[in-house]
Amino acid sequence: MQTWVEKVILFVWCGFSYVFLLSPMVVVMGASLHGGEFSAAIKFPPVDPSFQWYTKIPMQQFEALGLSLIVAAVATFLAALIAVPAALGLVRSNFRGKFIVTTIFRAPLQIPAIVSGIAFLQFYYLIYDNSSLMLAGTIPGMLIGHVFIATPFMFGTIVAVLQRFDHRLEEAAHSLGAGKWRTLYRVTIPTIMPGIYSGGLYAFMVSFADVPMSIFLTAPGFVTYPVELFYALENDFDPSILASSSLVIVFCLVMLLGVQKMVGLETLLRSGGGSAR
Amino acid sequence: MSGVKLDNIVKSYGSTVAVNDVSLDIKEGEFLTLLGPSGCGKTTTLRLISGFIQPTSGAIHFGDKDVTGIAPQHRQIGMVFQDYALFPHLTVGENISFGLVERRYEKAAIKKRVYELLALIKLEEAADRYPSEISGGQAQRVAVARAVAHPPSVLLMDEPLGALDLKLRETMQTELRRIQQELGITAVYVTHDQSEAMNMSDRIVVMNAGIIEQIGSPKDIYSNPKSVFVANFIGQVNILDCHVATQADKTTELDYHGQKITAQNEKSLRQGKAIFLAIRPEDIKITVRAAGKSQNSLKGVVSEALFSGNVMKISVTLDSGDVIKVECQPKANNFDIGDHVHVNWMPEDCNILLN
Repeated sequence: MQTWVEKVILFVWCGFSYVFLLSPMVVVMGASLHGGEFSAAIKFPPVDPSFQWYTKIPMQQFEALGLSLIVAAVATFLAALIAVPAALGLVRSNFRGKFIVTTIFRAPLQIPAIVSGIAFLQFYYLIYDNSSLMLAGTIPGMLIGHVFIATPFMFGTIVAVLQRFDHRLEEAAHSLGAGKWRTLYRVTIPTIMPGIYSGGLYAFMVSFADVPMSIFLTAPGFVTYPVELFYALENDFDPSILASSSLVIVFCLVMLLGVQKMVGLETLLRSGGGSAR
Repeated sequence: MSGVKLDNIVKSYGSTVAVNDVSLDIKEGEFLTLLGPSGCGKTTTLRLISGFIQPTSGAIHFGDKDVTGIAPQHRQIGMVFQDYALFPHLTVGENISFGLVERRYEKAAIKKRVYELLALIKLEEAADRYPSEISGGQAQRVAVARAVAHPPSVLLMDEPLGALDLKLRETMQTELRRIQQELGITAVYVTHDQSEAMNMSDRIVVMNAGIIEQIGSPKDIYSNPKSVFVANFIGQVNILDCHVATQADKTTELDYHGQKITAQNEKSLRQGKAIFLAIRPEDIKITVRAAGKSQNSLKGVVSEALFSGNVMKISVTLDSGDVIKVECQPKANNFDIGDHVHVNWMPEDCNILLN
């Protein structure tokens, strides 16, 4: 049993953690309701609250948000297409240089995103010089970069799930008449699905939030949402940025709740983890 | 359904031989148990029959069909694993129907078969539950139902009761045996638990170090072990080192540290040969005075006396220094440590072993 002292300590500590994590968001959302005249410094708590700045969010931010969501979704899907087979192959085989290949799959995590961004840009210019194919500032070019930074998150979670995978499940499927592909489709993939979901969530977030790499791969009229916000902050700050950010925060919360309803966030968070067991 | 035949099966990994020249003829509908200590090759033998591993040499037949080299999914086997290996993302009903879907049964036929099997394992109400929501004993029954849904040529079970507690294990032994007999299915069962093997099997194969030590009915193996290993592995036994003194038609006179022991014996043994004499603890009686001439009788001192409910377990240290274990009725045998006694047994309870 906890004594009352322990309960108080636990309460205070948890309360502190929540305040620490949530207060920046509360401040942003509060300040977005600023009702007075334009002011370069944010006002919290808001004076004379109103939604006026919400009506002043520039259209290009919505366009950028749309682009970011599409890029993040497609990049996550492509990352899964690469990471699932790679993880299956690497966890289950034993060959010379396995360690090196595994490291390569995790390498994008170690490279600062800004370095990757410069590298991709230079690489795209090199391709352009040799073939007149321009990737910089295009959807494919952006996607390649995002798949590059998102894949390690997918790969890592799926490897963790597979290492705990009970290979007897596959033997059981074989004994019941299922061949290799049928077993993969009916047993292996469904069993590691929670890992794919949680890896996917990470990958999506990494792609959606990336500035340092994406900033090199944008073009006028082709800008992802966080980069757009970054430009806006740099050039002409006004509280509509706060309003726009608040919308995204709400959007993310709604999405998390949706995921929670669908697969159960606990299953998702527990999985680097095994099966539904 | 069919019998299973193993011809001179060898399985080696590098220089280690896991299974060494094993031949077996499993009859249709038979319940056969592979019994032995860990590392004796019993699980390897089972995996060879299932097709998860292939023999280094030798052949395996299911009925008339040579299945050597054929992958498990094409062998028509049913497999039950120690930790059940139920698919966690599928319900009990979906687990049972897994093999039926793979074998392209009609939807209606699948439904009918699943309910038949749920009735067989008495789990009708659990069809829509997930494996994480049922008990270990229930999970094991589901694993069996899943394995036999599409009638296999042979049902293979790898220590399926190992993860259950003792009480449940005994219930499940009866349950498994009932299901196997109701379906009339050929079954190969792997265990290291001799009482489990005795309770369930038509025949037991005792394995040790990759070879078959003995094959026989539980009764046969218990009363006529062919080697010291088998005698020791199946139940308790006393082993005395003796030499052959004289060999008559059906009796052998043995010399044990200068004392005479008479043993009933059909083998012909030459004089002076060293043998092992095996006597079961329950065949020995303890008396204060030496028994009559018709029995064997050795002198000793009670060195241990354990009361365990229905039996009294007494150890007697003989004059030679060997210890004889005796199991007897608690009521009639009230001996204490230090008592000078005689241990007596009949010549027909002697079993002469050569190795």
